Amino acid sequence: MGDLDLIRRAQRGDPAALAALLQQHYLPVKKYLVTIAFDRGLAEDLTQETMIRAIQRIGQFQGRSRFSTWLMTIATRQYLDWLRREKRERQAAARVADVQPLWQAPPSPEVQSLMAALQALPREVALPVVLKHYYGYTYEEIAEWMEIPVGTVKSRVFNGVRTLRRELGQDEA
Amino acid sequence: MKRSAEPWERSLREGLDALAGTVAEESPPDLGAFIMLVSDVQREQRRALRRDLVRFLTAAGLILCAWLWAWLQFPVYFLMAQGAMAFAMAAAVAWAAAGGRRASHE
Repeated sequence: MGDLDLIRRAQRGDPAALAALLQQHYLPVKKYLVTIAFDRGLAEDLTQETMIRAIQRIGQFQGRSRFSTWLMTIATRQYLDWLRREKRERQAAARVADVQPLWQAPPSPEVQSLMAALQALPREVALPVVLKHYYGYTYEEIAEWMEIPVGTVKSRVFNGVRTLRRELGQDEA
Repeated sequence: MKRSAEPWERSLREGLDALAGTVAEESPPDLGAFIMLVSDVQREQRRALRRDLVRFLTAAGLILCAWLWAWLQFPVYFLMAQGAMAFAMAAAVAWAAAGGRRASHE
């Protein structure tokens, strides 16, 4: 059954349709959250919160974007809320250090140092870098999701990329 | 023409692909768990809505009773003066708040 049919039924109040829709999108949302939060435990919690928020707001989904994009927007906002809550930035850095290694088969040394450099970036800088250079979203889309000006997104991406290049010894300067 | 990825960009993709790959091996919770979650969240939402409605109706009832009592107690010109004063104060507060917000963005 397609997303559109399930969405229509879910908006009419069919709980089974909404459940099926969320089940289909559960892993993509969790995958997305792992790549922006670098923490499987946190991604699990935020996926749950994203699902709850989607249930509460399914009536507001107007189909202007794909359903998966709508869920990503909610997931991003959940992650940003988590970052803001009780100013957890420092605790988040400690948490990332605790959950290493993130993968079963360790990648090449270059990838490992790049990922370490990415995780060492402030979260509000790492997020737009990932959204821009991994997911390919536009500056405008990222600005809308993060609720910050486009210029701020551009400067954060620029600074983040410069730091990553420098860390990997690929700095042009 | 699409530009080719720089080395750091390739490493970024490889690293994040590996990270995402750890989730790909998992399977989502079964449909029953999702149905239960949907039912719980919707029940809680309905309860919150009912609570808000009761609060709104209680507040509206109290205001209406107070208005009715005042209407029976005082002459019309006095009530009109009271209303105009309350409106002017609310407008002044709103104007001051809006002015303050604008100033903070400049």
